[in-house]
Amino acid sequence: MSAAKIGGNSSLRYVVVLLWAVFALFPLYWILITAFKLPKDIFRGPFYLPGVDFFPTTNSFRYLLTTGSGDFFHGLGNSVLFATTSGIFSVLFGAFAAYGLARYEYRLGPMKNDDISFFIVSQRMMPPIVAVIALFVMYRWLGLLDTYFGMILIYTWYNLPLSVYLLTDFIKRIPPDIEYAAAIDGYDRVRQILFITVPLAFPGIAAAFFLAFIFTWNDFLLALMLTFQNAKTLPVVIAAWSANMDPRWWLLSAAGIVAVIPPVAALSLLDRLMERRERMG
Amino acid sequence: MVDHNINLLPAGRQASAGTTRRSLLQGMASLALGSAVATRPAMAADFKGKTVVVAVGSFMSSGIAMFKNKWEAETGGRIEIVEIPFGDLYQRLFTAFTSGAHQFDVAVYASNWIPEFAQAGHIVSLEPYYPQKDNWNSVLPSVQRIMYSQGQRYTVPLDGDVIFGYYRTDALDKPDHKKRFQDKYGYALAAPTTWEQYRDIAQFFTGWDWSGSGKPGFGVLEAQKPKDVGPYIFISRAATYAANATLKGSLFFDPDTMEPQINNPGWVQALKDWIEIRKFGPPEMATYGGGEMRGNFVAGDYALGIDWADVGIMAQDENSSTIKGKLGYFVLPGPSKVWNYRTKDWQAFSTPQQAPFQGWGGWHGSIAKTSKVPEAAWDFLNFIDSTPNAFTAVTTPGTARNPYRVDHFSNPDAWTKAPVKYADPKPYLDTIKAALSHPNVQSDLRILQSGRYYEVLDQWTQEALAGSLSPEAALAKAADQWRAITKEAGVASQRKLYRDLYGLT
Amino acid sequence: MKVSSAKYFLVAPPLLFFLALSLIPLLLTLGLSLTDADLSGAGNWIGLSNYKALWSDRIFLRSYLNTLEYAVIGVPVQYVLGLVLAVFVAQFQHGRRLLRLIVLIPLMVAPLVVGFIWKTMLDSRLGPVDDLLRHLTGIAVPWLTDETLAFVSILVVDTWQWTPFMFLILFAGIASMPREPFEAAYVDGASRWRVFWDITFPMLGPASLAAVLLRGIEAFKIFDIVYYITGGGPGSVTTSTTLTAYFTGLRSGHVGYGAAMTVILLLTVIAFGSLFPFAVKLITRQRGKTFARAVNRNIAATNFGGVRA
Repeated sequence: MSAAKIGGNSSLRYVVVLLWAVFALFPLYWILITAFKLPKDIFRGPFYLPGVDFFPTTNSFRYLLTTGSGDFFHGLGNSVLFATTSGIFSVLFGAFAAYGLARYEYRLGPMKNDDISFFIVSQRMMPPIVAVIALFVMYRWLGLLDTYFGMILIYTWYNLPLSVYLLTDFIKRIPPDIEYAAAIDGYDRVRQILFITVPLAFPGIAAAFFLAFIFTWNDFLLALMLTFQNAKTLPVVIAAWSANMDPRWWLLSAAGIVAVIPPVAALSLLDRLMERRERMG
Repeated sequence: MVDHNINLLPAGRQASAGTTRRSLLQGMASLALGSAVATRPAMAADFKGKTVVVAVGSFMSSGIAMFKNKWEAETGGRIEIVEIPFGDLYQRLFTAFTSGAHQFDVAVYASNWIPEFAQAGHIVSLEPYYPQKDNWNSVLPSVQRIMYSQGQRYTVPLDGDVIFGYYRTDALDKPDHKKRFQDKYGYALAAPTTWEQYRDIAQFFTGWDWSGSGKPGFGVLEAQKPKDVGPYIFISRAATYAANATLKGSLFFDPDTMEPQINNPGWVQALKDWIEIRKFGPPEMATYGGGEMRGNFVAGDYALGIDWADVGIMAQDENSSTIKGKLGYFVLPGPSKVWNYRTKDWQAFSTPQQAPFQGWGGWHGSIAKTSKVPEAAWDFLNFIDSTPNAFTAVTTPGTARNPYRVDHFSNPDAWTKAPVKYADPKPYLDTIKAALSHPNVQSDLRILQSGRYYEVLDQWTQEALAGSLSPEAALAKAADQWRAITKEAGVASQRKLYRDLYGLT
Repeated sequence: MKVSSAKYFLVAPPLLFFLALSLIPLLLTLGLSLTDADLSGAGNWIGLSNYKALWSDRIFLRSYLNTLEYAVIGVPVQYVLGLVLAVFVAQFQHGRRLLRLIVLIPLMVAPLVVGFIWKTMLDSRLGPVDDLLRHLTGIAVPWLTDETLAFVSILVVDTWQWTPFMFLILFAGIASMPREPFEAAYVDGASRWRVFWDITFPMLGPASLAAVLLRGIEAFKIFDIVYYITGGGPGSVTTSTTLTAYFTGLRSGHVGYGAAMTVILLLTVIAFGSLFPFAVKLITRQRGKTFARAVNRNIAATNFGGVRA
C-alpha cells in the first residue's frame, strides 16, 4: 500500500526520524573510526575526525586479513551459514505451525490454540545460562558437539518460537477467502499455503527471518558452550579477541564493522519482501 | 603447510633412534633449520600424523601460536590451537573435563586450578616426563612451587605472575616535584614503601598537569571494575596487611581451623585504603577492568599504578603507549603493622612488611587425561618452554608470558634487543625478580572452587567500593559466605590443600 | 487430505523441538536448583535450601529488582519509540528503505561491540558524549559512575539496541495492513491523528502484543551490555539476574545456586508472558465503545478482505 495515510503528524516526522538517525548512527560512526585508531589514540581521546585530530591506521584491518584471518573468516563463514539456514528452517516450520494455529482448532489434552501458541513461545523464556550445561551434556551424548548440524539444529530451536508467534498474527490477518478461491482453482493445501498464504504474509516472514538471523548472528552463549573449533561462530572469535586483559578495541571495532555487513546484506535482500505486494487476482 | 614443512626435515631422523638420533638430528637440523633447532638437545621424537589440540585462554594464545610452525616443522606433528574467551576458560575446561568429551590434548590455564584438575584426575602427572626436561632448575622456586599437586608436578610453566607497582619517572623523579612534595608532606618523594606514601603521592599528582600533556593528570590507576581483575589487585594490597611473615599461611584462612581471614582488621584496612585512593584516580576508574587499566595507563597521565608485568611490556609499544622510557617500578609497599590472627591483634614491625602476591599464578600447560597423543603433547609443551623459546616468548609483546626463569632476569641487554625493545629493562626485571623471590611472596588461593571464593569476595568488595556497605560489614558478609563454601567443599580437604601450599603439614 | 489429523503435522516441529531440546534442560535446571551441584552436574540434594538462601541474598534480590526495572521501564519506552518510528518511516515516499536500514542497524552490531563502544562513548574523558555535552552546555555528566545515571545509561543503550526490534515487528504489521479502511476513513474526512488512533493503532494490536511480549521475554534476560559496560556496578546497582546467575553458575561453578536464580527468573517471565496478554484484553475492553467499534470495524475490514461499502 502507499503507506502515506496511516495517520500521525507529518511535519514532526522529519524531526523525529532525523534525531533517531543521529542517535542510531553515531555509535556506528564511533566504531568505524575506532577501527582506524591506534590504541593510544583511543585512550587519549576523544578524537573525532580521521586525518584531522588523529592519524588513521589500517592496522586493525591488516590484522583481520593476516594474523587473525583464519579464525575470523572461519567464524564469519559459520555465522553466515548458521544464521541463514536456521533462519530459513525456523521460518519454514514457523509458517506451517502458524498457519495451523491461525486456521484450525486444536485440542492437545487440555490445551487449545492459544495455549499451544503460548507453550511454543514459552520455550523462549528459559534463560539459557544454566540450560546450556544440560544442552552441552545432551550434545555430547548425541555426538553433536562442535558440528554444523548440531548448531543449525540448536539455532532453529532457538528461533522457532519467535517465528511461530510472529507469523500466527500475520496469517490470521490474511482473509481465508483467498485460499478458498485457490482451492476452487484446484490448489491443494500445501500449495495453498506455499503459493497463496506465504506470499501474502511476506512482510511478517521477512521480519521473522531477519530476527532469526540476528538472534543467531549475535548469540554468544550457545556457541561458546556447544562449539569448540570446527563450528565456532564469529561472536566467540570476537570474544576471544576481547580478552578482558588486553584492550584491543581497534580490532574489535574492525571486526564489529565487518560483522555488520552480512546482516545488512540479508536485510537488503529481504527488503523487497518487507512491504506487502499488491494482491494478485 | 604441514607437508611442506615435513619436506624440510632431515630424512635421517625418522630412521634412527635414541641418542644417535638425537645427535644426528642436532647436526643435521642445525644445517637444515638453523640455530633455533640446534638449541633443543632433548628433541627426539617424530610425531608425523599426530595432531595436538591445544586449548588456551585467548589472552595468551600468541605466546603459543608463535612456536606452532617451528614445532610442526621439526616433528612433523600438527598443532591446532583453540582460543577460548579468557573469562570463560574455567567453565569451558571444566565442563569438557567432567563430561568426558575429548576436546583437547593440552590445556593452558591459570595455575590456581591445578589442584582441582589434578585431584579429579582430569590432567595427568608429568613426573614420568620430567626427567627429559633439561631446564627445570632454572625455573624460579616461587613458580616451581605452584606446579605441584600432592607432591607431583602436573604442569609445564609458561609464565610467571606477580603483581607490583608502576610509577611515572617524569612525575616522581623531577626535582621540582620532589621539592614541592618535600615541602608539602615533609619527606622525600620517591617510589612508595608504605601505603601512606602511596596515598600521599597519589594525592599530590591528582588534578594538575604534571606531564605537560595539556590535561590534568591523576595520581593513581587501578582496575576496580566488578567481575574483572579487581579481587587480584585488592588481595595484592590486603596481603601486605594480612600475610604475616612470621605466620605461614595466614593470608586467606587460619590454616588450623580454616576460619576465613578476609574480614580481619588487616583486610578491612586494605579495603579502606582501596576506597580512599578512588579520589585520586579518574572518575571511571570504578568501571575499568584490567584491560582498560593497561590501555589507559600507558597512554595517559597516571603517576602510580598496580598491575602484573603486562603494563611494562605494553608501555614499550609505541602504538599503544606514550610513556615509553618514563616508567619506574616498585614492589608493592608494606605497612609497619601486620595483623596476627593468632593473637588477634596488630603486630608491629620496624620495617615495612611487603608481601608480593602471585595473583592468577601464571599460565601453565597440562596434558588432558583423555589425550591420545600425550608424548607429542609433552614434547610441544616442553618445546614452548625450552630455554631459548621461553626467552623469546617473554620478550615478545602481546604474548602475556612474563618472566619466570632465572635466565630471563640475568641479561637485561637482551631485552633491549628483543622484539619488545624494552627501553630500560633492568629496573623492571629487578623488581619482578625481587617480588617473585621475596621471602614473604604469597601464592594465589589454590583450593577447590577458588573461583567461587573470588566471586564472593568481588561482590562484597564492590558493595563497599560503591559505598552501600561499610568495609567491615561487606567483608563480614564475604567471610560468612567463604565459611559456607568451605563447609560445602569439605573443611578437611580444603584445609589439606591450603596447608600444602604453604608447606604446612 | 484429512484435515483433522494432517493439521497436527503443521504444529509438530515446534512441539517436537520443545520435547527434545527444551524439556530436558528445563527439568535438569529444576533438578539442579535443588542441589549444590558444581559444573560437573554432580551434587547433593539439598531441597529448597537454594531458594531459601536466595530470599536473603541481598545481591540476588538487587539484581532481580534491577531486572524488573529494566523490563518495566525499557520495554514500554522501546515500544513507543518503535511505534512512532514505524509509523513515521512508513510514511516516507522516498528513501523508506534507507531509513529502515538506518533504524535497524543497531540490532546488527555484535553485543560485545555494543558494550565496549558505548562504554568508551560514555567515558567522561575518552568519550565524545560528555565532551560534546561539556562544550555545548558546560555540564559534565557522570554517566557510568553515578548510581542512578549508570542505571539510566544501561537503559539508554538497551533502548538503542532494542528499539529496532519493536520497529521491525510493527513496521511489518503496518506494511501488511489492507489499505481500504484508511481510504474509507479519509473519504469520511477523518484527521490523520484520528486515523492513527482509530485505525492504525487498533489494527496494530496483535503486532503490538507480539512485539511487547517477545521483547519483554528478551528484556528479562538482559546481560551483555550490563556486563561489558558496568560489570553490574557501581556496587550492584546495575547488575541483572542473568549476569548474577552467569557468574554464580558458570563462571564460578556454583551451578545449583545459579540454577535456582534462573528458575525464579523463568517463573517471572512466564508470569509476565501469561498475564500480559490477559491484561491487554482487559484494558482494551475498558477503553470504551469508540475503540471497540474501531477494532470491530477493522477486524471486519481485515477478515472480509477490505470489502466495504
